[in-house]
Amino acid sequence: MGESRFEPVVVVFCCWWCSYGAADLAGASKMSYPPNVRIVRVPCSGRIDPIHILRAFLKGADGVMVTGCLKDGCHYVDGNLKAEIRVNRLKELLDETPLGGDRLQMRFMSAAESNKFVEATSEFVEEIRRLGESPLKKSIRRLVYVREA
Amino acid sequence: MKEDVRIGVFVCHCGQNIAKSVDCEAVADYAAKIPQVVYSTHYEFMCSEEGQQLIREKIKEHKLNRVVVASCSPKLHEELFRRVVEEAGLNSFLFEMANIREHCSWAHIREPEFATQKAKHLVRAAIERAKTLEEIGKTSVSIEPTALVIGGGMAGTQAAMELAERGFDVHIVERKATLGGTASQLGEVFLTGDCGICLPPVLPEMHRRCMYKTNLALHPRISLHTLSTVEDFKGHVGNFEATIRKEARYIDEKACILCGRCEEVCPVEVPNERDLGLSTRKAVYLPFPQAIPHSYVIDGENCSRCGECEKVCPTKAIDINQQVQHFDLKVGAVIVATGFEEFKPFGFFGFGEYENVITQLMLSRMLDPSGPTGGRVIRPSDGKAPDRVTMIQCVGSRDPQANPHCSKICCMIALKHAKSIRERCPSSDVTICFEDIRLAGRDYESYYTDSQEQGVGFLRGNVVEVSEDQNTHDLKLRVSLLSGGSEELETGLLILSSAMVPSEGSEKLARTLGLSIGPSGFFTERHPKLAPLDTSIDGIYLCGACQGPKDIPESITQAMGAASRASILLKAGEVEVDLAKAAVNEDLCIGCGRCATVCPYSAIEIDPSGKASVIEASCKGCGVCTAECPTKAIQLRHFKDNQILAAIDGILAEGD
Repeated sequence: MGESRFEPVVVVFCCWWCSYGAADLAGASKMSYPPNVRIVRVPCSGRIDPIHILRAFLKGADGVMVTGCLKDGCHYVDGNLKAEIRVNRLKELLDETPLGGDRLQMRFMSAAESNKFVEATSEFVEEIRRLGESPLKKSIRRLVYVREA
Repeated sequence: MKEDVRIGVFVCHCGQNIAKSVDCEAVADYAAKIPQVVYSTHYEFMCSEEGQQLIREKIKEHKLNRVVVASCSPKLHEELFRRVVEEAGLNSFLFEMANIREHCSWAHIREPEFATQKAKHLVRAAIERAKTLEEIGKTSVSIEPTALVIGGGMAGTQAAMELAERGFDVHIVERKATLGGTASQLGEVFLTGDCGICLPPVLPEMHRRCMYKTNLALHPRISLHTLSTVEDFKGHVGNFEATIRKEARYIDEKACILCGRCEEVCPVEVPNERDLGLSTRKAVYLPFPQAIPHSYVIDGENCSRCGECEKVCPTKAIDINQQVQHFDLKVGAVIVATGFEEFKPFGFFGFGEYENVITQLMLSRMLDPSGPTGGRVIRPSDGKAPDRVTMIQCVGSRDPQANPHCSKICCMIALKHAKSIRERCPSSDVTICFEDIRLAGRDYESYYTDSQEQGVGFLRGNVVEVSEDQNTHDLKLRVSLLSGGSEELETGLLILSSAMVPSEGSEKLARTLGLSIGPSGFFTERHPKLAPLDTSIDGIYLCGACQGPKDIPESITQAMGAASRASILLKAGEVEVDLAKAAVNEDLCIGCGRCATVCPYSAIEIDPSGKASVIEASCKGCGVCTAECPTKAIQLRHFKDNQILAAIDGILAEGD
């Protein structure tokens, strides 16, 4: 990616029933969003465990977005609301660390709302670009450097 | 014993759809270097018969035990490729797909260098995940050969009739007191000019079938539940269980002989919703002469409980103490046909404020010979025939503030009504204010040319102001013309061509069934082109205007199609379901019960031994339990923690 500006790595968890479909529709409609967005499929946003999000940060994600069905519109009744509770708790915990809670966000959309997917992910990539590289990634790189030396 | 993982990777060009922005050869070369990938290639169309054969051959040749296909969305072809690997002797869950078309080549069509890089990340994630995949078994379940049709309008009735004639038992659940839906409010429908409630004949008959004369309620295979809604819904394809809530009718429909004595003595008079307030009815009433079921009904909300009707009923059909009932239906397939309603344009062009502003549906009640005015067009303010009638198109349609969609049939309705008014009352002038006229149907254009010949006026512009003369109740309109300038119009009756919107309660129904709805609130089909009558849930189908604005011929066609889709399933006898459901590792389970608490389907129980156990038939595979489990004892098969973590590691793996 470009030399001059920081290109963040952003992992977006998509639920199979809604946001994954919204991303599909965005592609099928040739709507563009930053290629920094890397999608991981889950059956329901309620399947996402905080350890999955933390693993993404550990492995080099600068930002993580959890996406699920519209509130009141979850394919699995209310998995999205359970996900929201977990994401909000994790955000609070991340706020206590140099990583910060802003690097983790949650969005809700229906399978038909490709525009919402494009807007949410595009804005998020810009937000993470503004926040800069994940401090965790920097310290891991230092750790690896020390170990290899 | 650790098995020797041997992965085959197949990168699809999808013609130019992927290859235009992704260097498929480079992606295949990249995959070949990843440990445990023993074969990697790229091919023009993986979904073609040749592509499928390639997979089958290479599985045998290289003893592959995992297959990754990088192509379109798994929503499109995952099932197909699973079948292909199964044909080559592999368990279908040892297959993984990387979505490099919808999520990559199409989305990043203007940035090919980034697209190729991203495709590598996506393929890497699929490969890493493939390494962790495990075999998952299947079980077959028998199918309940009964269908549930939700909505008893044109489309639902047609679908029910088709299925019943094919030999399946059908339950129709209708929210209102009678079948017929919105079509029953139309005196005449376009193209054929007859009433809205004829059903097409079933072969070998060739005469038309009046919904009422056929007496659907007496069909041995059809069970009719009016005043009913689906309150709860569970189960899976072939074996759904719907809990129906039936409001009280207060009248035994079989005992009612339609003598009308109850209506005579009823002291309560309220606006008649069927005539949209153009007439009144009693609290006990017959919805309309041909209503099915052929019975009076008591409107429990407005009834004063005076008991007069109960005293005069000669057959003792009335029971004013009847209660709401609940019952369960076991069905194999569901057809949703909840239709539409007319958008209520309060606040638009003086509707609700000036008496002589009405909607097209109100006008069609007037034009119905058996309607509130006996087929005469009148001004609600004084009951006189208007000299001038003006119509406004696209009210609440194609309007981002109200409904973004085109309601499709309002142009035809306006022209049909304009023609009717000119025919019945040649002294009335009719003018249609419009922005666009859309008549995309084979025989539809003639309505436009005919009405022009009949002297219907067309004014292309937007109505920007409506005011009322308080003495005469005539209306004054200012129209901003598309060609520039503006024009003033005076009219005795203003008719709004109001949008088609989904029926009240369809959002709630979507939640109950787990279906998705689009931005305008209509139900969305599984795929607009490939599965237009299916939904995201196997065994649930759509037809009619609940899926989007439609006219009657289209709704009937869809109803026949949905019935056909459902009958394929119902006839199959049994269906295979996979066991990609949650499973408990009893050694790790501490019996805390948190999984059972969060499970939305009550599919987890705590055994007497203090361990959680999953009821596989009820588990739908969301994995909420897996995320909640403090010891990670319960794992959703195919989306276990190690499988998701592998995908995360893969998608973030460095190097190319």
